[in-house]
Amino acid sequence: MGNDVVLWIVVGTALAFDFTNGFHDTANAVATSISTRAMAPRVAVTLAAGLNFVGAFLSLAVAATIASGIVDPDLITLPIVFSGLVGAIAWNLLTWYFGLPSSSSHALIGGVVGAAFAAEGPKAVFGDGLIEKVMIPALVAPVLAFIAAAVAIVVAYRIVGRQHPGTVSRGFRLGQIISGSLFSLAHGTNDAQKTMGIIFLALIANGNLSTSDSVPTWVVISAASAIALGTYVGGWRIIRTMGSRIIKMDPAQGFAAQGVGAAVILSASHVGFPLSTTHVISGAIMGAGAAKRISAVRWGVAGNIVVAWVLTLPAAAVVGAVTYGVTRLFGDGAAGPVVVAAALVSALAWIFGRRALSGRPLTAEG
Amino acid sequence: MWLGVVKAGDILEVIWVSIVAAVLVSGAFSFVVLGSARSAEARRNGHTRGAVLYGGLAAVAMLAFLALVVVGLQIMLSKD
Repeated sequence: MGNDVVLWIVVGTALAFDFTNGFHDTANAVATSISTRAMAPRVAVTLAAGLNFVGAFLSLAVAATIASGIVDPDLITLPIVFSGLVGAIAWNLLTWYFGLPSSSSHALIGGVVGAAFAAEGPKAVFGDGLIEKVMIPALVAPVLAFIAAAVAIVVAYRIVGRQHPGTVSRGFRLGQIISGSLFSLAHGTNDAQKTMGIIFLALIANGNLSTSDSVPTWVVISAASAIALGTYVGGWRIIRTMGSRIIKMDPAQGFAAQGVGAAVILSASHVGFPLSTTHVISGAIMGAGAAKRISAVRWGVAGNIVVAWVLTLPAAAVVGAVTYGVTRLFGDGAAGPVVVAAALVSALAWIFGRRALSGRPLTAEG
Repeated sequence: MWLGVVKAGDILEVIWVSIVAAVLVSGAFSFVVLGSARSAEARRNGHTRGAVLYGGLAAVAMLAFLALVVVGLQIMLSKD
């Protein structure tokens, strides 16, 4: 057995990341449904949380571990994983604060890459893997979703064009319930996997499990619960950005964005080229808006989102590297992760405590 | 052909499969909406045959849409 204190800190931090992942990505599944009034906000996040929980149990393909092929697995240690998680959590919270949708997967990869680089130097990072798994998908996802949603909304308007607007809106609102549910389920199967993979790797690295073991049930249940809880709490700032600040959407556009988003993600997954749900749904919303009228898209907001995407990997990498450096100041034992985890918890308690004391809702709902 | 580390063929496949899937999903559900709306209108106007025909269109389109949803679920379940 290795160091159990560090292991449990990594497990706790991984679950905290999983929570922020659900919290951050609630908008992907529910923003369009809430914006077009297909579902009441609380109903939408409750449905999304339940389906994320179920989705986490649908597939246990932990072999597709996050950051595999990007960093050298033989050089990864618990402090590197811990520092990478801290980088990802920090970026998720910062982008949530500014209401910007960004990829939690890219934040996690960035954090781990930065920490691995700080620990072992450039030999720990595979440049080809970064290009293949992060940069090319980040370019393809939003552009593809934009074009597909633009084509889809033109098709939809052509088919239903001369019908009564009220009837059309009611119909597409019903469709949004199905497409949003599919999106939430897909998100649960993809994103809860990342946390399960990290906890599983940590247990192997610490000597508690071997690579031939299956994922313990408590890992599956805790990861599913953390992402579902995060989804239920809801990152309302990002929901507002995606639901009404990029475009003012009608139910047909909402359905097209969500339906196309699910279709693109699952098609790409089928072909073996997984894409970020955040990049896909953001691109689809912009495409559904631009196809109706180019000026319908608030390009300033869209530009801020793109800037956040570009900064995700390097910013999380810097935080991951700095965190790793700080943990090493306290030696090779558990002291570093303990001090950093305590500082992180204290900072979060201070931030959210101030909000609570000032009477503002913790999640900025409404 | 390779674009650095990624096969250009893979990207092209993702692009055409995604666009076809997106059009099918959107088109199928749009026909559900169209069929339902026209069927209701025909029923209100006493055109039974039209109501049945458009109702049938909506039902077939709904089956196609649900089939696409099932394919999506299948992809989720068969991930490895």
